Amino acid sequence: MLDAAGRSTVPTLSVVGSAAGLGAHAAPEGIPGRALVCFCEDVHADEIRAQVAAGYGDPELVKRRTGALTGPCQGKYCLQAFCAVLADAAGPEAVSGAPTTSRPPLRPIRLGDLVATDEAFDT
Amino acid sequence: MTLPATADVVVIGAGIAGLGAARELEARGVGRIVVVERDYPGAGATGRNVARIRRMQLTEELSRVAMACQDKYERMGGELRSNVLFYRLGYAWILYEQDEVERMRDVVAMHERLGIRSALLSADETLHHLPVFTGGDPVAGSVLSDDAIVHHDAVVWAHLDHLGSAVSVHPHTTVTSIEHDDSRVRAVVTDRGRIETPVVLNATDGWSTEINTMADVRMPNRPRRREVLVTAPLRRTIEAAVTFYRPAEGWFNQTLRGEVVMGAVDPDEPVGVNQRSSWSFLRRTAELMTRKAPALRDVTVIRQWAGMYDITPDHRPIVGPTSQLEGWWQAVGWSGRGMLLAPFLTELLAEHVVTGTAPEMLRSFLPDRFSATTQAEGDQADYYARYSSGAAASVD
Repeated sequence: MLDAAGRSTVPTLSVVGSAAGLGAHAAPEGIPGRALVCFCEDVHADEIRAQVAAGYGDPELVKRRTGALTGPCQGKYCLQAFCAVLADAAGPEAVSGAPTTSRPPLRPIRLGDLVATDEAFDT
Repeated sequence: MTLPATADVVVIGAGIAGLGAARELEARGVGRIVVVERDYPGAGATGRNVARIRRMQLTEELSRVAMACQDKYERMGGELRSNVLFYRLGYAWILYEQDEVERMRDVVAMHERLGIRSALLSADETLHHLPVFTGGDPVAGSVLSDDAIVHHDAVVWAHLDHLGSAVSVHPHTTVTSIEHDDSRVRAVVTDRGRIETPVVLNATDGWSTEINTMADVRMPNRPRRREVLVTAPLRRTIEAAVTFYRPAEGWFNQTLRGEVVMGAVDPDEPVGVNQRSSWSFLRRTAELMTRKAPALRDVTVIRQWAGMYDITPDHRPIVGPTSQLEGWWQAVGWSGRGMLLAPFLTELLAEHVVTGTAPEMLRSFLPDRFSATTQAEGDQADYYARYSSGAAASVD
């Protein structure tokens, strides 16, 4: 499924990040522009590249301008791909450290369920 | 981008206040404006609020200022040639106590005199317009207006994209000290170099005490955390941005993407910069909102975050020069109203910088209404007490 450079041999599939065996944020060459990065908010690789080209390459700004990482998964499915495309477009230093802030809750939770939690749990 | 060694004005902070001031100064012919920002543009309170642009205020003076502020937002998209997503979502104060309803009769009459479209609704009318409150704590009434929201990030980007060649913005640049002598400010020192300048504008809101201290300027504003949560999007069902003050202060509204943003205010939030998220906020907000609007039990929280309110003793911002240090200007202490007030008040500030005279509408916001010895006070727990006639009179 992958060639020696980590490129997908399946025409419709791109493999990025650690799945490509190239390290956390490394991207194989030639991520297609229409490669889907953020499933929740429907953000493609080209949209991220366009932000870098427009001078908005800071990960916090790419996130806010494209909506990537802001949907119900909060980046759990897409952060690797997001970083890979951004590193490809803006250089690896653009995604060094924690590129954006992780925040609670870990998973989406109903307001009603929060009210139902045991008072004793509230420390 | 290399940091310039000299400037005519150095602006500290690239939020709505700093960028608004930079734009207004440039429009008035001030050359070489350097904006330094510790993080990315909009990283402070500007990127963490929900950008309600409300004309209806509790006092006539604040309502007049807020009208000018909203007018400025209505024109902003055209002037900056960029969509800031100004949208008349509607705005409602939900009232739970009969004395709030009585107080609002006078407030609504004042709005009518000024030309603000607001109306006092009965309990039944409130539930008709805002069925989300059906089955919750019984409401006594509400005040509904045609006020607006904008998108805070779109406002920041509209400013960034519109700035001309006189302004340079330097993100990820931290101010480490301020050089001044007995009479005036001389230079701003950062971790990326020193900038000599005759004029500095502190536009750092929640961090302004730290920056003022570097210049040996003492002001009574102090930062306090405010927390927010956001839910997964749902179909548009809540027909206004709502706020309630009693018996507990809280608010919610839907964004243009359909998410519900909300917060229950912690009246005991301590002073200090703190942008961490708390479990107690999540619990407090879930309890308050599901009690008032039981339909919200089924919305799912996907994220919570926190930002800073920089609060002054009179809950009005500090905008202008100070007699404590020549060349030291401030646009801070926004007390939770920066998105609304900053574009217009920094226009007045820029006017003051270039003419040397404070425009009439800026007078009650000038820093010198406080002395260097004015004590920072505890926050007023009761919202209305902050805007009682006595409190307003003491600063006018």
